[in-house]
Amino acid sequence: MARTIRCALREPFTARAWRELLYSLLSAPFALLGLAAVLATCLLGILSAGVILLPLLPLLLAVDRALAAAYRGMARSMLRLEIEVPPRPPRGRGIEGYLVRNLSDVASWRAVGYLAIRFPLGMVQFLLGFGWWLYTLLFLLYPLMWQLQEATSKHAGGDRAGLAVAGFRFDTWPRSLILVAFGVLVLLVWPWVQRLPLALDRWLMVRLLGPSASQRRLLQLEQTRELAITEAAATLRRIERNLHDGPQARIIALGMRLGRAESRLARGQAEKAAELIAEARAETREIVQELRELVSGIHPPALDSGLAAALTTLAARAPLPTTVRVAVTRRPQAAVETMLYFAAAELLANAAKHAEAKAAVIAVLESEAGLRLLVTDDGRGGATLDAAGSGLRGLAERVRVADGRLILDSPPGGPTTVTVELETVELETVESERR
Amino acid sequence: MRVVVAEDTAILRVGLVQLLEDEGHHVVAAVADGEQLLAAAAEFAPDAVVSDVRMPPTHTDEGLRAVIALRARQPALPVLIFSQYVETQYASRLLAQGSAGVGYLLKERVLDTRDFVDALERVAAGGTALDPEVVTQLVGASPARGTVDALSPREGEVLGLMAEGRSNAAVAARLVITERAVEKHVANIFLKLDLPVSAADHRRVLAVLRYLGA
Repeated sequence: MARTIRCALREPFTARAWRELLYSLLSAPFALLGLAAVLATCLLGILSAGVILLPLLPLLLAVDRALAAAYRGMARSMLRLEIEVPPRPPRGRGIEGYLVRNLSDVASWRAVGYLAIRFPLGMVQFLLGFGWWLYTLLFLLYPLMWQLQEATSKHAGGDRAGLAVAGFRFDTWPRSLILVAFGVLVLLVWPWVQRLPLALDRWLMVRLLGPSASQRRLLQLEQTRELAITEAAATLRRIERNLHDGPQARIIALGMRLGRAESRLARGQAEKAAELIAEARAETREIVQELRELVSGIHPPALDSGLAAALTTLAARAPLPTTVRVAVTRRPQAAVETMLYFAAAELLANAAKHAEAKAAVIAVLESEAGLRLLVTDDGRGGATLDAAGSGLRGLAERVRVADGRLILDSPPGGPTTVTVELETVELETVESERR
Repeated sequence: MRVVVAEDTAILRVGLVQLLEDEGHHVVAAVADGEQLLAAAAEFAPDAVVSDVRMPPTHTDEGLRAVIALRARQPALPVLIFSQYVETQYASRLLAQGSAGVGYLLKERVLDTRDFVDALERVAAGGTALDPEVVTQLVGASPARGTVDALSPREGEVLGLMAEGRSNAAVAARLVITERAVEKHVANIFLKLDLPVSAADHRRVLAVLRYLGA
C-alpha cells in the first residue's frame, strides 16, 4: 500500500511523464498539420473526379504517409511504442502503375483516417496533457505572480492584487499557499489525466499506422521465408563441411596409409605393411560409423516409420534417461515430423549439456487444431530466448517457419519445459500408408 | 629434404608427415593454419612447403594466400598446394608469380605415394607439378583462345620444355640452339596461342597450361 502511494507520488517526476508531456505539446501542431493534409487530400480527391488532378493525389498521400511516419517516430521516442512500418505495394509500370500503386495503397488511406481522427484527439491530448500541466505550473508559481502583481500595481496605484474566487481573494501568504497546495494536488493527478487520451491514441496508432492483419501476415511470411532460405543454405554448408572435414579427409588418410603399406611391401617390410593395413581397416570402420552419424543428422532413417519410432530411437541414444510418450492418432506431413524430431533432439541435447539434467521427458500430444511437442527436464532451468545466437532462439525461429510457436518455461532452479505448438498442421490418419 | 607441412585436419596432417618421413624426408614443422605456416617457414627455412588451401579461421583460401605471401618474400621457395578442390583465382595468381617450384595437386594424388613424393621432389628442384584437373579449370577460366595444334613442331618442343619449368637458357641448352632463338619461339607461341599481353611470367604460365591441357 505504502509502495503504491510512493509510486503515485513519484509519477509526475518520471521520465515517462515528461516524454508524454512533450508528446502532448507536439500534439497540437501535428494535429493541425494532419488536419490540413487530410482536408487537402479529400479536396483533391473530390476534385480529381475531373481526372486531371488525379496524378497529384499520390503526392498528397505521400505527405500523409510522411506524417504517419513522423507519428511512428514520435510514438517510438516519446511513448516507447514500436509500430512496424507497413510495406509499400510493388511498383507498377508507367503512369497507370504509378496511380494504382499509390491510390490502392491501403496503408496510405489508413494514415489519412488516423490523421482525421487525430485532429480532435490531438487537441484533447494537448489540453489534457500540456494545458493541464501549464495550469499546474500557474498554481505552483502563484505566490510569485501575486507578489509581482502587487509590486507593479502598488507602483501604478491600481486595483488590489491577487486572484479572487467568489469574493475570496488570495492576497495573503497563507491564502496563496492554499493555491500552491491545490497545484500540488493537480500536479499529482496530471500524469493520469494525460494518459487518458494517450490510451486511445496508442490503440489507434497500432491499428491504423502499422501494417494491417494481412500485411502483417505477409511480413511474417517474408521473414520466415528468408529464415527458411538461410537455414537451408546453412544446413547445406554444414553438411558440406562435415563431409569435407570428416569422411572425405579420413578416406584420403586411409588411402595414404594403404599407399605407405604398399611402399613398405615393395621394400620387403611385410610386418610394418601388415600393421599399416590393420590400421587402415580400423580406419574404415570409423569412417562407416562417422558416415552413419552424418546420415542420421541429415534425415534419421527411423523417421520413416513415424515420429514415435524416431523419438524412441533418439531417447535410447540420449546421454540422459529419457521417457517418450507419443499420443497421436494422425501423422503430420513429413517436413513437420522432421522439424519436430530435430527440435526434440536439440532440446534433449540442451538438457544434457546446459541444464545438467538427470532425466527428461518427451511428449507429443494432439490438440484440437494441431500438434504439441513438450520436452521437460529436471535441470537447473534459467534458460532464456534472449541471448543472441542462443540455440533456443534459432530453434524458435525454425518453429516459426512452420507457423508454430515455441513457449519456454524455465524458472531458475528448474524444471525446464519447452513447448512447440503447431496449430495448423494437416494431419492424416496413422494407418494410411506413406512413402 | 626439410619440409614444412600446413594442413588443418589433424588426421591428414599426421598422415602426410608419416608419409613424407617414410620416404626419407624430414618434416621440420607441421602446422594447422596460414599464420603458423608463415611463421614456420621463416623460422625453419625449409627446402619445400606443402600446404592445404582451406584452413582456419575462415576455411576458404588461407593456405593459398599464405603461400602467395611466402613466395612474394622468397620467390625461390618451392611450394606444393595440396587441396580437395581447385581454387582458380588464387591458383593463377600463384602461378603468375612464376611457375618454377610451384605445385598444385588434388588430395587424391597423395593416394599414389610415389607419384606424390616425386611431384614434391620435382617442385623442390624448381620444376612444376600441376594436377590435370587444375590445368583444365585454369585454362577454362583464362580468356585466351587459339590452340596448341597451330604450333610448329619446334615451338611445341620449346613449350614442352617450358612446361617442365625450364628457363629460356635451359631450353636453349637442351635443344642446342641460341637463347635468342628460344625467345623468338616463345614470342611466336604467345602469338599463336593468342595470349593477352601481360607480365611475361603470366603468359608463360598460360602457355604452359594450354600445353598441359591439350
